[in-house]
Amino acid sequence: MLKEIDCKEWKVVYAKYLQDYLYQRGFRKVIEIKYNKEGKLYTIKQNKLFIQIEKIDGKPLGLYNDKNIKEFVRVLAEFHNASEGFSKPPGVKMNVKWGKTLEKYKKLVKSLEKFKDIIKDKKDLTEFEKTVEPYVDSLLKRSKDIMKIFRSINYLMALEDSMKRKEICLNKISKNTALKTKRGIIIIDIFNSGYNMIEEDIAKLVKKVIEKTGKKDMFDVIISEYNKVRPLSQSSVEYIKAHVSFPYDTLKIISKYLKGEEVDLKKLKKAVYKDDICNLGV
Amino acid sequence: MRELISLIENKYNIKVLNIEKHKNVYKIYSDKNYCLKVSRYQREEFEFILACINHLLKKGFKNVLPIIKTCDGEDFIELNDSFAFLTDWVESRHLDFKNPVELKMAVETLANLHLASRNFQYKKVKGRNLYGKWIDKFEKRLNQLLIFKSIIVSKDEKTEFDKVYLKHIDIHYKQGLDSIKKLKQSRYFEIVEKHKRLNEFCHHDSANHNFLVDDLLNVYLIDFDYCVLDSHLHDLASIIIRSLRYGNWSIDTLKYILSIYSRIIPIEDQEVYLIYCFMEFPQDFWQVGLQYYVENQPWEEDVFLKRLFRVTEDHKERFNFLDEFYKELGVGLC
Repeated sequence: MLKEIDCKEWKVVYAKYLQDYLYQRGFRKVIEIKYNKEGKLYTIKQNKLFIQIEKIDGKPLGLYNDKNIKEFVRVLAEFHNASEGFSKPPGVKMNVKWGKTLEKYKKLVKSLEKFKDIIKDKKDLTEFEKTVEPYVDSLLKRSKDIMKIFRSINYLMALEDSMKRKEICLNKISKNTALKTKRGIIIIDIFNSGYNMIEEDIAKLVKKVIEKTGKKDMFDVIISEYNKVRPLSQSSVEYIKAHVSFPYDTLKIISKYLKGEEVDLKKLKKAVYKDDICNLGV
Repeated sequence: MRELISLIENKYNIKVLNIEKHKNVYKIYSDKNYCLKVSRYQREEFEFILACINHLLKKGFKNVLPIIKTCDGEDFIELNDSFAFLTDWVESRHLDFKNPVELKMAVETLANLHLASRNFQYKKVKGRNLYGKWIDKFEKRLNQLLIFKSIIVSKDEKTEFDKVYLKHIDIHYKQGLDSIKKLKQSRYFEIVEKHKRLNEFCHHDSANHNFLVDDLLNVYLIDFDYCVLDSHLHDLASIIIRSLRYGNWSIDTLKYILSIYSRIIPIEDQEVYLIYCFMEFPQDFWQVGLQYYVENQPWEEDVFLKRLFRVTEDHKERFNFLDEFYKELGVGLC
């Protein structure tokens, strides 16, 4: 079947090579990208990108049901196992995201410090500033505590190990990442995947699940399920916890505000709430 | 292109299946792939560059690609208006300085290059010896800032670039003066004299795109076109600037780089002070002015403006960082 996708052409080429690699290693829980009649991997029609994929009947994966979540965690761990060690052929582009999240965090913490500095002596605070002010110190403390973990020698060694092992992450986890089908969960979006520490994928999943379900204990459920397929070290669990607890959404909105972009107070409150329920106490 | 293919085939005895231009190099497809690096320098300078590379190879430096000799045993070939040499083509990507592990790999590579560069003996080549010349260079650049200012002031109609540049020129000029004053009061000449006796050279273009990393995490340093005789502190200060500028100013990262480098070549407190002085000079601000007012680079006005904004938008954070760096100097940073 023909499927429209929203990504660059090179991501399709990369995805096909990765999919072949996964199949060779016996992991078939990922959609098959096929060549079209012209022997090409994609067709561009009216500036839209279409790919030919196998026909699959299934529903988008909901991350609120424990059974689905556990199954997806196992599939994710299998994906991490199977994709590890992948090398792209010469001339093929792929995402390399090692260290990028840390850089984002650093910038966000810097923005928060700047924000604190700005409102310190300001007399007439805006509505946005008034809303954020009560949280600033705790947000700053939490972010800085987390950054200490990511600056540790142990973390740098773990990052280097991930690079040596050539770990691959899906990088994007949403309800559109996989389908629930008769033959189990099938990953349908590997286009944004690339080199990265697998802890980041797990953290993204945990965060998504806690946000959806409101249950912090899903962290332990996910870690325990993942461990059954791909054992995690104690340090890895600590890094996942740190990622989940980083108040990313709130800091992102504050950073946008500092750049003069329009920000919605409702979105801010929602972000504060979400980041709060994801605070696992690092 | 046909002429080039034929030259390569004759000189290197390889069958060229295809050739692609990638900036200053050509990718040559054959039984395996090769890289033909082209330099548009005069013979004397080009030979200096080759001598630096060969010295590193002789000293066992593993992070440079060996030069493949021609059938006649030469290191290079002559093209119409340039020279070129051949190496293997390495499937690789650029190191990302934002990834702390890759930054570490780059800093270690640079430090090892400096170690391997020691005892380099070569005849004098004009423009390639910067030992003891930081102050002269900075003074010349400061004078150029004054020239840029006079060009702007004398214009009847000022461009957006002129206005923004003029607005920021005095503060950067003052900072340049400070940097020179501090260098003059420092032990610069004494330290540099000590380093000069080591006969080291610098890569002098330690941008992340000149560090290639392959699948096995082997790092290759490329493009030695700008290499100069100078203290290793020059390259060290440059890589620090390149990792911190444009929004990444951080004392932690500075300490991180210094600690990695110091494990290979120890850095004394007075040397850290020289790095500070080097970093204080507003090199990027001067450079974008030079590109606009002197070199007349063939770029659209928008491109110049974008480059200028990148510097001016960064300047407050850079200034704050330098203040913090200055305060930390007393503590001993390494």
